[in-house]
Amino acid sequence: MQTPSKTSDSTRDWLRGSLDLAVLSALSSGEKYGYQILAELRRATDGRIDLKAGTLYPALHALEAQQLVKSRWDDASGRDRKWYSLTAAGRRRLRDRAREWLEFTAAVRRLLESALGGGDALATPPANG
Amino acid sequence: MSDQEFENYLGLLGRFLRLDARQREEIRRELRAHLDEAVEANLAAGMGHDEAVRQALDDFGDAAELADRFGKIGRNERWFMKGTAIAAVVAWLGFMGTQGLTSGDGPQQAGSATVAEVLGSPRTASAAPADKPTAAKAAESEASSRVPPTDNAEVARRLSKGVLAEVNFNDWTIERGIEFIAKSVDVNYHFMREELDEIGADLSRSITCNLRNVQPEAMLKILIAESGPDVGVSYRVENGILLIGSEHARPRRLETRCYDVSDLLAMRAAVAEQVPGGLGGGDAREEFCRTLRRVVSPESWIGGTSGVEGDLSMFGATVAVYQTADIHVQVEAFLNDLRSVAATTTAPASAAR
Repeated sequence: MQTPSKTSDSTRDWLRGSLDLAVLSALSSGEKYGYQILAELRRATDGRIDLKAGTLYPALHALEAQQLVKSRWDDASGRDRKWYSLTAAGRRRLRDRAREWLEFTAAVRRLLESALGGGDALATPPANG
Repeated sequence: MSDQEFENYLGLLGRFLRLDARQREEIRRELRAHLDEAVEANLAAGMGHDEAVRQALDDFGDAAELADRFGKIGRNERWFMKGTAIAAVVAWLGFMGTQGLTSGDGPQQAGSATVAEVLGSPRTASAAPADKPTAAKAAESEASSRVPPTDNAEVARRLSKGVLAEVNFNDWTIERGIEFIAKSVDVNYHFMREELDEIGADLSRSITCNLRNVQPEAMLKILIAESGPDVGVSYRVENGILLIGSEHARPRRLETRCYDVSDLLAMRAAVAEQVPGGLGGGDAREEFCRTLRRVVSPESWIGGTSGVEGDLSMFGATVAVYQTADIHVQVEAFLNDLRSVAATTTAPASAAR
């Protein structure tokens, strides 16, 4: 019942600005249906991004309306499923936004390091390098 | 069947979102597939049946949030979805055959009983036409104390909520197809011959169509579309009768009807207690009026674009609506949708926690 790594409040705030980016990222490795996207996001972030279905589907529909993802229904897997994949525009958007995001987080990291007085305070390396 | 309650919930969500039937069906299908999958995964992970269902719904998230994120629901309407989210949880549990939420009865009966207790007032439909249009039939049906199966809202419900298990029209006429639908869902129907002649509609055209599990109303629309795109055939419900005629003849005469919505206002109060942090401020009665205007044919109220200048106001727990007959049908259908989910709202939510 109590999953150990629920999305924390602050993570949720950060996620709000990058939800689209997260969803596009999850699709970068290939076509997926909603349930798989949630699983992929959990897996790739060690549970830090644990979206509700109620958050994911509207986001997917909005991305589709912007033609960043496309979808098709298919029941070949034995179950009726709506499969999503990136469009060319979606791939471009992912690349551009990812670059912006990485630049931004690098800047924030420098800011925090200087605020906390150098590397030591933030010594814990990012998980799984 | 409780499955129906879940469908009702998604239907209501669709109303708020102002989606067309196709989009609504698509979202329903997608969310449904997701829930099925989540329940299965939870079972595979070794959860008990009840827990698997509950967890799946818990992970699914707040339906109000869902509606909010789909982007078209106002702050003031969120309480409906809060209420119906709780109802959907209960409906889902019921659908999955979960027992033991309450001693003895299934969740369905338990829910209704408690709502009745809480509300302390009968939940029978309380639309009372102030101005009775034609037909002895209408007068007759209003005379009986039970809601007759032929009142407008019930007809609308049968058309939208029923299912035609099998449609096998092989070289049938459109007219015969329409008769088949009306008979299948057991509603009275009538072809307005004069109107149809006037627009030159030909319902003797031949059609062939084989479908399964189709919504009667969708089938009706398909058949009507077969009469030609610009012919102008349309259907409407008056006095509990399904009328097939010309769209130009849709009623334009406005009449006042009063609807007792004390049960729905009580539902709001009950929901407010269950939602941590409450539902926020705002006068419930004003909210209700605003919502009704926005959800039911928004272009048909004063200042709207359709040429109909409907109006409404609230007296105590009664809302007086001045509208055309066909929009009254929509108002009734909307209130009934709310009631059908409200019926499962109150008690079991606490049990499900």
